[in-house]
Amino acid sequence: MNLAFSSEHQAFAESVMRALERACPLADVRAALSQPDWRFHKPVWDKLRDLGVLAAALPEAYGGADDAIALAAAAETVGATLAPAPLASALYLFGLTLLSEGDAESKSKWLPTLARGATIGACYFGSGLRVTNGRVTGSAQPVFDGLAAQALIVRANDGDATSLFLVSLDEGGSIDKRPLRTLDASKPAAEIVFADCPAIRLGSDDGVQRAKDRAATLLAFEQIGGAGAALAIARTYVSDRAVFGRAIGSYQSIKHALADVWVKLETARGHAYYALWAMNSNGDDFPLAAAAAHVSASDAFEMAARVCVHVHGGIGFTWEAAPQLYYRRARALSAFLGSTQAWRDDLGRRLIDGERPRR
Amino acid sequence: MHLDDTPDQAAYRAAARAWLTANAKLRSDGDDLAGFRALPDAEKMPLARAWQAKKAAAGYAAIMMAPALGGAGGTPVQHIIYRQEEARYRVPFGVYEIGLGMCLPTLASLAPTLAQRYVPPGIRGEEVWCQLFSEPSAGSDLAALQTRARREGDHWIVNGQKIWTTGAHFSDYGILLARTDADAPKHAGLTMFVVDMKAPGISVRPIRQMSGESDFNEVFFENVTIADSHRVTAPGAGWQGALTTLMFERMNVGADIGLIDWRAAARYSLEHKSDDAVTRAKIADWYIESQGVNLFAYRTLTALSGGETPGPEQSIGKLVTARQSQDVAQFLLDALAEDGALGGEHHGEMWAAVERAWCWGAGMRIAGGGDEILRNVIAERVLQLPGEPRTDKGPRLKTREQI
Repeated sequence: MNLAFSSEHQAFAESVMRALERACPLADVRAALSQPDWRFHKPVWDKLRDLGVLAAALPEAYGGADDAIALAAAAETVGATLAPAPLASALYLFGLTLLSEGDAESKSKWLPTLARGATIGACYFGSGLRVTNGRVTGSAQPVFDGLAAQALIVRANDGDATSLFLVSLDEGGSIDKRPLRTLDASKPAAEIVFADCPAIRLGSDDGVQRAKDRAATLLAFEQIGGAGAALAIARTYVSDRAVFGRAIGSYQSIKHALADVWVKLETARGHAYYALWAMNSNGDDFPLAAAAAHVSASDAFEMAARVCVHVHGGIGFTWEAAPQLYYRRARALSAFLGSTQAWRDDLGRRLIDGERPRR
Repeated sequence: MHLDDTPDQAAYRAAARAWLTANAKLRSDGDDLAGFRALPDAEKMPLARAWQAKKAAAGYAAIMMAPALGGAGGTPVQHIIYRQEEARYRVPFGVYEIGLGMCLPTLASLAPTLAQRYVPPGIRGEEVWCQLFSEPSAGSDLAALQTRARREGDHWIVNGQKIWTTGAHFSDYGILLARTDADAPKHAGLTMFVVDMKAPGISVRPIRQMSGESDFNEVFFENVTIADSHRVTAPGAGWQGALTTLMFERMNVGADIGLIDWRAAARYSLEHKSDDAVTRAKIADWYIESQGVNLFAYRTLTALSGGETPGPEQSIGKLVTARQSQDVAQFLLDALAEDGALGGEHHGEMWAAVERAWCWGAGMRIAGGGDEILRNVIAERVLQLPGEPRTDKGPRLKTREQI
């Protein structure tokens, strides 16, 4: 047993971290908040491509390295630096869903370009779309990273049932994209209106939960990265800032708030590691593990960000300080896969029904 | 990044599981261990002694202790694998943990001659140990303790009082922390001893707890004589000795506090079809906490395999699990509506354990470092936040008697 990143994966994560810090200081993240049609941070995306992050989790046959652990290690640094890159849409969701549910031709067409960073994909599992005679029509919103995406996997009604479809946005029909204002504008979303766009059926919508479980697992690493960074920023601030002649971090009310964040963070880290193992080993307990990872990581990041804002006092409520960026990102990542309450409810039901982790 | 055992670990785990299956009963959801502790001493001590002797014979009583001292000479990983397996079974609880977990490893580490005499029979369960640290005015602030040991030739004369001493009433020996230099700064004036609990001048007075049972005691020392050969640390080095004890306490990774957890709530929900959204959310959150502590233990295990020692981060265990047992108990009692005012015997098999958790959950959040102290430890020792301003680090404040 070894519930930790190997030294190779740690070294990989450190190199990604250094590259992201250089490519995208927090000032860039803040600047993105003021750009209404923001898509993503191109230098970050190029850097992730150059370092092999985009290809990491894909099979070697498609130009990948077949190493989901490397992607998870990198995800933690993306979360920590807040680098605005559509990793979750393009890889955790689109890439891994296509890999799992797609036909050979679609995989050959899209996966190598994903690995090269030449394509951005996204997913939409909400309602509002229907497919007739192989063409999709309707309105989808919110589609995260929809403005940047050249290909989408969507859930649509095709008569009797709901299925998953692959839609390429450059193959005819009419597509209208409109940006939607998001609480974290560095993580953009769009409304996409389809009219008679060619759609390839991938499979039944049983694939949706599998897709979400994989995405939840990898996203949890971004979330613990973000929570760890928010805790570190809060820790530094309360150790330096003095009132009534003492560093505020010496007051128990502040100490205990940060200790509680640490407990939440380390709890979430354990669940993220476990879910990654369950995913990679095709464990029967993967759905249980993914739900626990997503709920605990969402709780940890939102709590860490909230405490980070709060212990900064007035500074924490300013535009220029770092905490608001973490506060916004925490919300964006929690919402990315639906209501955390729904995940929590599903987890509770599984436990009552007797599902248990292998370890 | 995996939880598969190595072939060696798997073999060790399989052997431990086979031995436990042959010698103990599995715990079901909602079972606790604290029920054993609640038995009368006359009933529980023979059972505990027999179990300890069995474990010792099978090599599971002191897995990490050196073979020369009667231990199994195993690794920390084996120690924790065994603990993980034993946690699945209903076994005697509450008699030997302090001796095996803290007192004997402290002796083995600091006092080789004493260890030769005391560790082997302790492992076999022939002698029971207690830890005489806390005092009425020195619990969380342990270094403030005032029990005095005064040197006379090759003996020490001890006077004072200890409190919250678990198992003192059935213990044969204890490790005692006493003040041997009243003028030194408070952390520098302490010394650790082995004391014979049957020695003249010691009186043990059980404390009746909120639960109605008496596990804790007050222990009074009136001119108790301890031979200098039974001194564990150098004079004045008792605080370092206490930190050694604490380090061993932290090997108690993933601390099973012997009370019910989320599984009891899941079992209740299944049996009573009380499957509402609030219940599901609570069970999910409790599972995340509890399994989170379990996974933290696996991460610790990984670190131990790499040669690290467990540190203050282990405070996470009891901080989470003690609170959870109290919360789960209150939740289950509330589910009974008016019947939640009645004793456990009115509700069926699981409810004695629920009642114990309702009571003991409160106690466990205090015992061995209260929730607030554990948060301080995490904040100051793990996150390295600045300490509180301290007024007690200089020369020791005079006690009231001295003034």
